[in-house]
Amino acid sequence: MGLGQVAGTGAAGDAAVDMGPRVLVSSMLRYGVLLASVVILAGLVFLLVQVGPRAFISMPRTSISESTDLTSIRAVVGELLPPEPEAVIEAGILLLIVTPVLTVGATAIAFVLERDWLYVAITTFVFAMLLLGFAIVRGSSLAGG
Amino acid sequence: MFFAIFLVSVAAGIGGAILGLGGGIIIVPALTLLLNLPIRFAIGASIVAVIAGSSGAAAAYIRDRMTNLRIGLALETMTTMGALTGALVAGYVSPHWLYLIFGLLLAYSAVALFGRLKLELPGEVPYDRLAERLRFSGDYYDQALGQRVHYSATGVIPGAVMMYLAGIFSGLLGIGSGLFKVMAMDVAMRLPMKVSTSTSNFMVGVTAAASASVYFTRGDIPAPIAAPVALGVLGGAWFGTNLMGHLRNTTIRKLFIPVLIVVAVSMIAKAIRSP
Repeated sequence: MGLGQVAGTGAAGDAAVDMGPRVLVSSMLRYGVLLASVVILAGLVFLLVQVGPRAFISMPRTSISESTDLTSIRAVVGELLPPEPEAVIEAGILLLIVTPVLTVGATAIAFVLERDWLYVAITTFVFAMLLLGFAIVRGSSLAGG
Repeated sequence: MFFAIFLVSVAAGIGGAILGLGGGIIIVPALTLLLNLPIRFAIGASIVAVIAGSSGAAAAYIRDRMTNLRIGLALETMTTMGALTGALVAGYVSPHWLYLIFGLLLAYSAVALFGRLKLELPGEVPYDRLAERLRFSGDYYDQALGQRVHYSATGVIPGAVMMYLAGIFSGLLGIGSGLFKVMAMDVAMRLPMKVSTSTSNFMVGVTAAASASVYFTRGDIPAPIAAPVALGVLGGAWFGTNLMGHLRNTTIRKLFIPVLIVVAVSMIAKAIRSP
């Protein structure tokens, strides 16, 4: 679609400008969000089946004072077998969190296809900063205990 | 309780989608003051809300060409750098002064916004070489006006500086800072209000995702709170995006000003009260 589009046609009014990246970002966000909400809903249905309706009335009350111990991808995946309702929900939340980050990474590739090197550089830089942020968080949380 | 959180989140989703804020400003006070949840879970929930609202709304806005992807990504370089700076200097700066500085900055923005209250579209803006070089221009179909709107940005340097400050703020205090992003684009870069809020919408999700790992690792995002928040905000964002296209730019500004004033006043109050 946007393949082979000449860079530099950024004048206002050009209907085809950034078609490739736009379609990609829009659909990645849409399907990422859709997938995450389906997983979260599945977790809630699972909870309803396992605990019954009272889970929804007392739900946040029961765990109001406790934070979750599902704090890493490994912990969440570990709890998925055999499945726990809470782990299914947390997996959906994880999907939600990684969606925008992966979208930025994919956008860099979309700009490569458009041969828009300035924006390849800009988007790659943003993606790198996001990853650096994750690395700093991991480093400091390990050091901080 | 489950349904109360869900309803609050729907409201936050609608407001966030229209104003480009992500909804954290609504979620945190609602969960702590109305529902008595601990502040750390409220902040964890607001991070989830920001990502859900942003991703949900941005998907629609980008499709409708309201979001300017180039402007969003280029300015995101400044906010991510700011966020890292904020995280690095976190131990050395007192939040007291930050609240004061940002409170005053927002108060100034509110005044600047008042002057532009009647302005539907920015019209011709002064030529900016950097905007031309980065191709900060575009067009979208405005449903409220029934016409295609062409626009281009100006004041890229002041806009970028504001974005960097917004990044520092979110890195230090974990706040999405959608307000500052909208202000930078509306007041400094003089983009149409709808372009500013929808582009900010896309940006806050990316920034929030970067800091989400902190809260997730700390266990501040427990499933019983996160599930109704995520689903509620997504529903609200879907509704909000359908609504926003039909609103006038001036209406969105009018909705924006009270939010701005409340946040500015509470920030300045926080600065004065904290020792």
